[in-house]
Amino acid sequence: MTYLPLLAVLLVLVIGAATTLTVLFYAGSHGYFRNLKSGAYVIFDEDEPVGEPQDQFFREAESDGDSSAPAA
Amino acid sequence: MPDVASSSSASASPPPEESWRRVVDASTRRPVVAFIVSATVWLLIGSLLALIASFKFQFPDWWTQQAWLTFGRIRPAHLNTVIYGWISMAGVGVGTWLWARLLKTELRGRGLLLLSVALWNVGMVVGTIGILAGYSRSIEWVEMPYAAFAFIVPALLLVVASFVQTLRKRHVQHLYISVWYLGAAILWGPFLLIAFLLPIYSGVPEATANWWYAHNILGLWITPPGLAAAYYFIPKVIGRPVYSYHLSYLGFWTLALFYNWAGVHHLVGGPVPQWLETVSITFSAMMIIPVIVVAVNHHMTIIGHFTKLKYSPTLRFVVFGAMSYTTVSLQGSLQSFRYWQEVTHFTHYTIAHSHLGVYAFATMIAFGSIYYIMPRVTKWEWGSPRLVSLHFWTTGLGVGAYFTALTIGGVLQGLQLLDPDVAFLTVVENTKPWLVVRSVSGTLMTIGHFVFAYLLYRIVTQSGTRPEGPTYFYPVPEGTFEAAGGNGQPAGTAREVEAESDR
Repeated sequence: MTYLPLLAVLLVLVIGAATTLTVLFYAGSHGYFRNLKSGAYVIFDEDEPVGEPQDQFFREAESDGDSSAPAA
Repeated sequence: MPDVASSSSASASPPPEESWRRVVDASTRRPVVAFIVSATVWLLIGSLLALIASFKFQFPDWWTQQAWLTFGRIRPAHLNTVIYGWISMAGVGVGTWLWARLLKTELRGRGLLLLSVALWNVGMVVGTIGILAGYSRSIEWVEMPYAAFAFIVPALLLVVASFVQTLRKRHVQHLYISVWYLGAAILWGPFLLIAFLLPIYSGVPEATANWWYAHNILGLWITPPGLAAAYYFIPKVIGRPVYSYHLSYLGFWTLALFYNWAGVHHLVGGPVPQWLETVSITFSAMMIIPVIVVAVNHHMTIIGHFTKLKYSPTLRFVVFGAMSYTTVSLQGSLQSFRYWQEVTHFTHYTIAHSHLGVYAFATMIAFGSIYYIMPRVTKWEWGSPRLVSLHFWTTGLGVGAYFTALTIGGVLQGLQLLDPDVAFLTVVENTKPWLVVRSVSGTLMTIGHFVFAYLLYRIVTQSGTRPEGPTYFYPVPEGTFEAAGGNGQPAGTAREVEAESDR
């Protein structure tokens, strides 16, 4: 029995773990995890603010009076 | 319309154009539609293959005169069409739209993505015909011949190229949690496939690598786009940020570190080294951490907003999928234990588990995502709330009945198989009623798929008159969606929150 295939799988596992840890520490040292609370809000803005329905693509665009234009 | 992505590198602030979403959505239109339509075609083909395979349990002599119609070919053809054709292509389609949206920039490499769709479809045709013609590689989850992957691997690499180009031109500094999941899948998916296609495996090591691959392609390629979509669409539809953004990161990184080691639990009791199984079982148990984290986060995000499930197709499908994710993942951790594997291995229980993952979780979230995305890229609405409702109930009830029947039937089958006093043919006879439920529920799901395909055809071709409002299951009472913001706070914008954080 050759151990080459098993070695290949284990190498992939170790390389995968090493890569994951490298990216984790790189992201941490470059500030990607700072101020995470505000990060949760990046999918909201003036057009689609927190607390407003955002499943309504074809509601009327009230601001410009263009009834044919999608809202967001 | 100005170019919203004119800068040459990542910048902290989003483009000033107020309607940047329209520009970004328009840039994704062709690749997203091409991937989603292709995926749906493969879903229909895969569903018909599944039905044929399932009904053979009731009518074993049906269509046995032609080799290509026998169970041994039809079943793997079903598996490969739904994994590589349906859910992978749907995941890329949904992921492509999310990628551009979350990076707030136009999609780059659109031509590469269109070429990718073409190559992918050619690969699927070659692979499906190859399996049916008897050229299966006889490796579960990778039955398609090498010739098919000669098209699919380059197609995957083209997707990677487009995603990297778009990432480099992003207009955001902070990468939302969904971006991490999608980026990881784009890294892991091709890596896994290429590693397993290396011609160095045979015998027991091949089986080991097989289940390392098959388990990971579910957890590291199919799961991340599903969770990315859930983390985006649940907050967006209910208008409330994720309950705990810190937990979402904990969930992502623990998945990244633990999942890769879990696949060999499929070979518990087999001829692989015991230590390898033990390591795999240990990491399978550790997967409880990211699962609980994601479950708590999703539940606490939507708590207080359950009434919206009555109206929104996107929310209903996505929440169904998110709840299924919790169930299938906890089930997966528990069934990796040796005492439970002894009962359930080689039974229909495993089939129920895999459908809970790929269908009840990933597929339902893909449906929900597509209901949100398609109106935005086609500038048209879904044609019929009733048909959307029919789609939900046929697929939801279908997979529910499928999972319940095969789980119970599988456990009973496993217990009887372990009992030396029960004859094998008696075990076979006792599983028959559960297999009838399998065929009926499979029929329900297939009906739902054809309904969905019809709706997709209508919206892509912009058939009929354009609906004036959003497609909801029922008319929405005034104020239903106008709830408070995150954590019960009043509605506010991201900038207000950032300003508050700065203070």
